[in-house]
Amino acid sequence: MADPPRIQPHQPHRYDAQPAEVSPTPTRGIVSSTLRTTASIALGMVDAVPGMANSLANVVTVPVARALGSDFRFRTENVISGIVTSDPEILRGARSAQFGTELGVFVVSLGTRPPLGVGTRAPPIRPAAPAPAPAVVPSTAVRPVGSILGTALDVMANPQLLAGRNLHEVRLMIGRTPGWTHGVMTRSRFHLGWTFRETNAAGNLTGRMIQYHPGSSRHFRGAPYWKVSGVPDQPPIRIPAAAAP
Amino acid sequence: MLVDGLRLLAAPAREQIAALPDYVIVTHEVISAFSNAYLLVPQLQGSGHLDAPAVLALEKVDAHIEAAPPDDDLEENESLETHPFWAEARRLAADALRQLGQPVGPLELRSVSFVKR
Repeated sequence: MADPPRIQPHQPHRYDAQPAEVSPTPTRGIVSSTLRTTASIALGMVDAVPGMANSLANVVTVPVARALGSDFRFRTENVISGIVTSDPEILRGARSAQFGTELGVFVVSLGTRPPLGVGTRAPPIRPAAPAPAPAVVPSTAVRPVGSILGTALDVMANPQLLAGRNLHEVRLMIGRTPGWTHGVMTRSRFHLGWTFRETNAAGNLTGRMIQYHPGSSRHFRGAPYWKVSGVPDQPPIRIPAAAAP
Repeated sequence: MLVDGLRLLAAPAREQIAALPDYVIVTHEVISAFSNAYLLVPQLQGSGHLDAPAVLALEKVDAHIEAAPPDDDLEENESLETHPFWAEARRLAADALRQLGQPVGPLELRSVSFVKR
């Protein structure tokens, strides 16, 4: 059986060396990028993750849905340097995921300092005196739990949010949920995959968990699947898979 | 959760297979359902929800799983019918259910959702 997929460290990419054209007055909450050799152009609204401290990075998924003009650029170093997080896995994952073709995953700060290098439709950089930093106002966006995939609580409320998603994406999106811990479950010869378990304030397991089984070459050609435990009174559900990335 | 996991482990092979979606690895999920619940045993015991005989019975199930033989066929659905490992697992799980004062059935996974990736 194959091991669970791991987040690959970022490899140097030729776009890393491109000169930046970054708006001097970044717009909070909007992340965009252009990968000029492909049609993979992403634009999306940042949605603050409820329950996360302002000092933590928020992970944002951006469906590639809209084509933008070729003057729409940002430099990856700027985005990465704007992250207020010490989690190297998040950093590596964010950098490598920016060059995905189906889904852009970005990490930006929404905390006590302005996001650096967050691109908007970019005029050339002006050497004039720097504009005052925009006021940092915590997001006031309100959304129902389970409406989008932002934390493990969304998964518990709506397991179907996992449909079509791979482990890499999900770990980036919900892996910082407070009170939840990562693990890999193996029992004897049975390799049962990645687990994400909830603990309460006393440090005890609550029984709620999210599990990713990578599949097996001996079964269904290794098709992976998700299991969500602790969903109250919900029978097993079956959801068609999206195309694998 | 613990009772559900034990009931899945104690059920006949055809019921185990029928209880789970057709895209999951049944043998793994049978093990996983019990093993995930078994992690809760220390705190259930500490809070007085499990007595010593029940814990001992659960420990026997766990030890049996941990000592699974290195047999690749053990992961196949067919082995659920034929392999002595699964027969013994059923016996131990049924004994644990008795110690918990629970019937072997009905088989339900009331709080689990599977999602195909």
